[in-house]
Amino acid sequence: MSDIGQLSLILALSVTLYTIVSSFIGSWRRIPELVKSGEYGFYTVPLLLAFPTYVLVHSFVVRDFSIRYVYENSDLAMPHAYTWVALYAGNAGSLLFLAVVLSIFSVLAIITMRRKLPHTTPYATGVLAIILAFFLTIIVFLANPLDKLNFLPADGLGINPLLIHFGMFIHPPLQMSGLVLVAVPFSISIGALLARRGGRDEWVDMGRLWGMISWLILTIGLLLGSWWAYTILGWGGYWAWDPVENSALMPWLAMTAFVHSVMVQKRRGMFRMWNMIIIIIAFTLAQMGMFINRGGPVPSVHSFAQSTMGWLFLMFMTVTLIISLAIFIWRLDSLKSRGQLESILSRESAFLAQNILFLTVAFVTLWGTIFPVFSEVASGDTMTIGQPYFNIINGPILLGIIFLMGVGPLIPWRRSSVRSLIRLLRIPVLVALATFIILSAAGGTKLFATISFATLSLALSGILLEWIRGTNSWHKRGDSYIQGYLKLVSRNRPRYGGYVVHIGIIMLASGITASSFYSVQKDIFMKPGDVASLGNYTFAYVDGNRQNYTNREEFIASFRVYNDQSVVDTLDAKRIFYPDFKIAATIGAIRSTPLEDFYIVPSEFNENNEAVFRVLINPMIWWMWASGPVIFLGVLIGLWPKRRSPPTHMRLHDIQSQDIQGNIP
Amino acid sequence: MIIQTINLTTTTIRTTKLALIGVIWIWLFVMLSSTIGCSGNYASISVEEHRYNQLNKLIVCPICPGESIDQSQATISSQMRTIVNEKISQGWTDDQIKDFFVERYGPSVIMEPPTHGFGLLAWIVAPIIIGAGVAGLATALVQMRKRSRKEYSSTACRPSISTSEQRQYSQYIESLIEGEEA
Repeated sequence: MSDIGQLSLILALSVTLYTIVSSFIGSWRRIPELVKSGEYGFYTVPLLLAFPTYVLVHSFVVRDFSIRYVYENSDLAMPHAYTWVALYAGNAGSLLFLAVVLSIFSVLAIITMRRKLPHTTPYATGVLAIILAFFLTIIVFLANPLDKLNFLPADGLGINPLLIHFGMFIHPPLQMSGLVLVAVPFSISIGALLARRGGRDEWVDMGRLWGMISWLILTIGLLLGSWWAYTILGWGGYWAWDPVENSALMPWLAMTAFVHSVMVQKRRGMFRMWNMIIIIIAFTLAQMGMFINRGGPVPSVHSFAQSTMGWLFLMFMTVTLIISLAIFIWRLDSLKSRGQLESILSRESAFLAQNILFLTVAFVTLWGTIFPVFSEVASGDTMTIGQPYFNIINGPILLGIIFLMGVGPLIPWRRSSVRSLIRLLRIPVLVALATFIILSAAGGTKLFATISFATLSLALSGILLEWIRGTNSWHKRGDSYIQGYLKLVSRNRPRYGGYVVHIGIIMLASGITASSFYSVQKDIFMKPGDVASLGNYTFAYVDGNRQNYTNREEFIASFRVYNDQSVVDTLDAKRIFYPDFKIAATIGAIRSTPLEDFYIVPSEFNENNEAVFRVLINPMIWWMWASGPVIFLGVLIGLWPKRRSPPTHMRLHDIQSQDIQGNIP
Repeated sequence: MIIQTINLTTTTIRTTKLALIGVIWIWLFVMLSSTIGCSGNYASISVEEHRYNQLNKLIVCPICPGESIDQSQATISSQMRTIVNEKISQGWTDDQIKDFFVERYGPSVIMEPPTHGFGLLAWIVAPIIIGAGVAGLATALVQMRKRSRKEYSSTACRPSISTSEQRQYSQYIESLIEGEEA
């Protein structure tokens, strides 16, 4: 059966290659039948890839260790549920996973855009097919998950124990999907460029839709990864500016800039060149993410799908970048702006500033990630760049972005005067100042944290002001407050969905600020029966237990936790040792409230169940995880389709491009 | 009539402000209690201990890939942490402790690039880019101001399409009026 699976993979590659040829030649030579044949053929690729996936799943379930990938990523002791994780745990499997996700979303994208963008779709299809063909070529020739071993082992090597956690069921697939799905808005943009329609702005709606979908998946992937790092890796933190983490953050930054910047293109026909550059950068960074993940030159705690094919991804990334820029320059004349930047005090100017700031953070992160390699080559000295560097430089820039997030929606389009800006921003600025003064007086010793909270208050009050004003105006017309608010949101979903997302970002940033500046950490050596305290928490090490399982040994320390108000909690901190992998995983005991997290992590236990425990108090971490559903809700609202009303006006260039029957192509 | 409008406006402004202020107070309360809680807890370990934690996050474990001695569980990491602790209690400054490790393990043992020599390149990159961005924005705006001033100075309203296009357009409009196109 695996042979048929292999055949299916080869067939998928062939069809994809055909789609490339037919889409480009058919568009260039204006042979619509050829284009259509490629498009319809492309629709079969998800099915052609579903079959080998099924074969792989089946092989895991029946424990067919003759297939190398099953041998390397599972064993007889593995519960069946972990087959899902094993599918993407190794290099070949993760590539197949990426190919399946890309093919499905590509087909969805093509179906949604082919009626609205008849000229762009063939080119976009071709670009998507090229990207998919790259993955499929590697799968078929270099990293085939259905390759067989020439012997039948009795048992497999087993799955990496760090992956056995609830978060690992969702984080890697989401993260990988987010990265690969940047290909969709990229293909739409490049397709529009190739079709000479980059400056027509018709592609912006689709670009924004698919941009937001990939952005959302990237966001949730990043949040889940941080949550996993916090709860299972046991160092009390959630983000270390590790190269693999950075490689997922950089495309996220570029995509955030992109989904905002296309709004200006839609509204005023400006930033056409910017948006092309931003999406090209975003896709390049996404590819760099895959390069660093698969055997890049920078050492990382993270690389689990290690292989030597990182260089292939680097090559593909370089080629894509060079060709995209060449196309950009070739079609430069089609990207001239319709509108002008008329004043610094305008929303366009705020969007321009956010473009610059987001790309700066992305560049600084990139610079910091590759600088060690760069410095070794250039100066002979190796230098390490870690958390402190990124925090010091990116922190203020990100704060600047939050400031823009707060004032941007309140600044008018085109131009504004200082007087009207004062009137519009009066309340948020006053709230920010009040926050600063009150927090400083209450004992906020860290200046940057206080500035940060003041800026977040500015952003929050700006959003609430808009909501209250809007709801009030509906209320005056007779609706109740709730009805009025719902109508407000429903009539302008992109805007109000965006506000909800911004509230999520405020929650996230609050948690990051508080925990970055006010975390308290202490290592304490304790034996069973000891009592210690940190802050207003007192904790007693009640009992230490060992439990042996077939593949691991668990050390469990039970704690009783009290705080000032004598609320009692019982927490278990675990340290799990996997002798086959020689890896120890720690599961911290966490008591989480919106105010702060109380966190105990054990290190190695000795024979008397004594150990050094790291005890942490992390303020406001809860808000970080709570922001996830809020952001998701916001995107949902923002993308929720409205019933379309027929167009009531036509633009001049549409009239001009009408044919004799009045059809607009 | 005018008095009614003024009353309505002031009521709206008052309601808006009241509601907004109400919500902001709730936010401020959360911030306040967090800060008070934070600073209370923050003061529960000594300044030296805070320095100890910060330094540990700056020093790299020599045998682990990309982990600080704060994160890493290796034996050498705990030995290095002990050294840091000793030096702090002996009164060494942060810079002296960092230099101590750099002498033994090379500059790559500190998680920050040095502020002199080649490492300086790492630090100045961000301000340069932002500076370039601001300069570019300012230049673009000045140029646009000059151009738009020239445009506004003409008295006639000049349409932005060519004469042949204008003719096409007016022909189309006329045919619409006469009802020949659907």
